[in-house]
Amino acid sequence: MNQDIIYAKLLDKGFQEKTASLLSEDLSIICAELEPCLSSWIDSGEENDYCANGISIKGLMSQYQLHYPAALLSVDWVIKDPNTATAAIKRGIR
Amino acid sequence: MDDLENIEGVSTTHDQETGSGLTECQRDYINEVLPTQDTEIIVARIDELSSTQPPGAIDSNPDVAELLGESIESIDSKYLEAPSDYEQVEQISNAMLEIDGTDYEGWQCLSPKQRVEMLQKVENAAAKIAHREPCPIEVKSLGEDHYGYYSPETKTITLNSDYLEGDRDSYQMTLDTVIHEGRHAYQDYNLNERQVHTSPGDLTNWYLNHYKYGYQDAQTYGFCRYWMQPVEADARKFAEDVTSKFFDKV
Repeated sequence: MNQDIIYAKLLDKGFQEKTASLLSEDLSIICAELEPCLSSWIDSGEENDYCANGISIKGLMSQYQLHYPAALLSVDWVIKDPNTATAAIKRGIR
Repeated sequence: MDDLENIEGVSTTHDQETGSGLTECQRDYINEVLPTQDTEIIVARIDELSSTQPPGAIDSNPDVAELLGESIESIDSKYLEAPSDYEQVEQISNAMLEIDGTDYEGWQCLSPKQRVEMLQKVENAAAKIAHREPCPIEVKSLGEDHYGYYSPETKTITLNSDYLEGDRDSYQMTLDTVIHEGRHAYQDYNLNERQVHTSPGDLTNWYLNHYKYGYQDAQTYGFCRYWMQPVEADARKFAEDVTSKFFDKV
């Protein structure tokens, strides 16, 4: 998906410019499995769920209070590098 | 390195070590206050000559260390260069062995209040070895998989009370978290109060993470950026090294 469109949507959602820039860069290369979720969020703000390796977007949002783009990117990491990402997420936040 | 010199605020003890040494005038300026044996006056005068911000460890300049001579032993270690990470790992893991209740059998015999007291002793020992002030440890319920955090504003470490009553995994995670958060306190001390860390490369990475790119929390940026950023990778590695050494010995 086009990075400028994502960037504009993130600004619209209240993210600061620096944050929107980093997030749009990451979201623009999100894996194909998650593109429908990203597109729906960009088009209508709908927060659809997706689960990979037992870790879901909605689960991350509720357990760690992740914003939707952060949860999308975390599941993207799980898909791209399941072992590292799953272990990292299970270690939690400290 | 040329790029880094253009970043406001980046200056490391490495700059001092490769400097041209003290002038005669600077030597006299320091010598003048040494007989007072007043640490604050001596440190303030050496800091005036420091080219780094925050100031470096007062003994990071070999000429200053030579001037201080044996009087360095009476100076609070928070003003002096910290041991290398390798030495800190060794010393902290050894110090943990000397504290009652750090082994799992001992932990099981302690009440939650006693566990916090034991963890405070671990933090006090780790802080002393790392040449920084110890952080008071507080506890509160933080929810599942939130083990704790360090607050740069209050200089406190908060641990999740839910894990103070848990099983062996909780015990190991809690010990790891105390060391991990203590390392964040060490990073904060080096970035904002005094550069006692001896690796200029680490200091640069921590500085860039906090002040150029900004700290990247998981809630906003996701787990990948949170996990990979220098200050988190460093705290994670340090805590893992200390606890691995400790569990090998205990």
